[in-house]
Amino acid sequence: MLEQVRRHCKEALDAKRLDLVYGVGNRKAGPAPRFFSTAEELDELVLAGKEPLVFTCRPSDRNVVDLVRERSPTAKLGIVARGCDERALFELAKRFQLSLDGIEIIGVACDQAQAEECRCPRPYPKNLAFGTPLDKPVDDPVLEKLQRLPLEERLAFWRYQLSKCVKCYGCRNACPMCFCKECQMEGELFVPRGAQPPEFPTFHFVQLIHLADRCIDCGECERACPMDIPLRLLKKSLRSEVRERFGYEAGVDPTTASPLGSIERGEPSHAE
Amino acid sequence: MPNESVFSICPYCGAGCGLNLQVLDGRLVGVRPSRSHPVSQGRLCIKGWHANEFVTSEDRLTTPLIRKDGRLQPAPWKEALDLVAARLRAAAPDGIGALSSAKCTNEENYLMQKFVRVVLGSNNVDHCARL
Ligand code: SF4
Ligand code: SF4
Repeated sequence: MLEQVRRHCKEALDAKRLDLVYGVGNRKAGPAPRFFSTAEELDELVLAGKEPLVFTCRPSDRNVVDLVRERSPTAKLGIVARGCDERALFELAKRFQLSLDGIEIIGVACDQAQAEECRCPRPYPKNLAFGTPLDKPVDDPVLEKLQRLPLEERLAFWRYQLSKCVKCYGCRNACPMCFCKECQMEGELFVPRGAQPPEFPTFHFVQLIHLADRCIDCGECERACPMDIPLRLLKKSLRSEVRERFGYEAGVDPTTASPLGSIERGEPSHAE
Repeated sequence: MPNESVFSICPYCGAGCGLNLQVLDGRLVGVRPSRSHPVSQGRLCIKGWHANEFVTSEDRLTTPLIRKDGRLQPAPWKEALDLVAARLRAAAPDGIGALSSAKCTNEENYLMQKFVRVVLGSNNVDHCARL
């Protein structure tokens, strides 16, 4: 499949259908996201399942794709995206953090092994160009086990887990959907300075609430946590809650308005 | 290439976590943890997550400062080094303490303690990672 993707991208660059391709490149120091502008460079393209393409750059609080597009506004950009990369692009575009105009999403489906490693419920993009989407969703055995526990035990589980937090802000920094200029996880109102571990459960719940209808379930928060706190279980639970109540799944399509980001006629909060 | 991911090692402490610095048109615009780095395996502490920010910080010292008339004032290197040498010569060995740094190489730290112990005659050697 890798060869097919490379060929597709090379042809697009040669035919000037695309000016740039964004994907993961192999380097001596390990794979990392990079931009490719020539066919030769594309020999280094890989489909590594561990490197997210969409992330927030700090201190500008802007995502990398948006920064590059500001620099080259007319360049036609192809992005070799997995399901989670595409979800991030869609959800950011909906929130005016980037524009999808002039972007071709070259979607690649993940295989069973990758999906299981990521505990991913949706290991394929909407703009699927390569690979076959898995027909059966991957279960999350850890989440299922937790949900079978009685409430008090679950509370005790989280009390223990969140008490390990060293307040590195890795979960916030690694999140492609965290881009607020003023982050309430840093505000004195909810998170007193110097308190270690941070107060239960406010610190983590501030982020959770803000991500309620934004979290695209990529797992980056959990991968970034040096204390091995299973943060994704919280986010997955929240995502299924939002799906049940509002029928909304962040990042699945580029147009449906998010429930917390929109007001509809007839809603109690909507005044005619 | 518009944006490059440049592998580097975090300079803040002796752990040496792996970073991928995000460079856009020669400007540092962000930092990402390196997942393939054996020490940090894709994780960073709060300092590492901001390791790109001090490079262009306005608070960074660009010249030696000497306190004159109660105020720190920019001074040329020669003047600053001469002053330090004169003060070290004048001080009693036990009155001298040296702080080295986890940001330095092993060789620099070795030289530092050797200089303090053998040349200055003091055992007061410490480093920033214990502060
Ligand atoms: S989170 Fe899902 S879409 Fe993303 S790499 Fe893992 S399996 Fe693929
Ligand atoms: S990444 Fe983990 S340790 Fe760091 S702030 Fe988030 S929960 Fe706490």
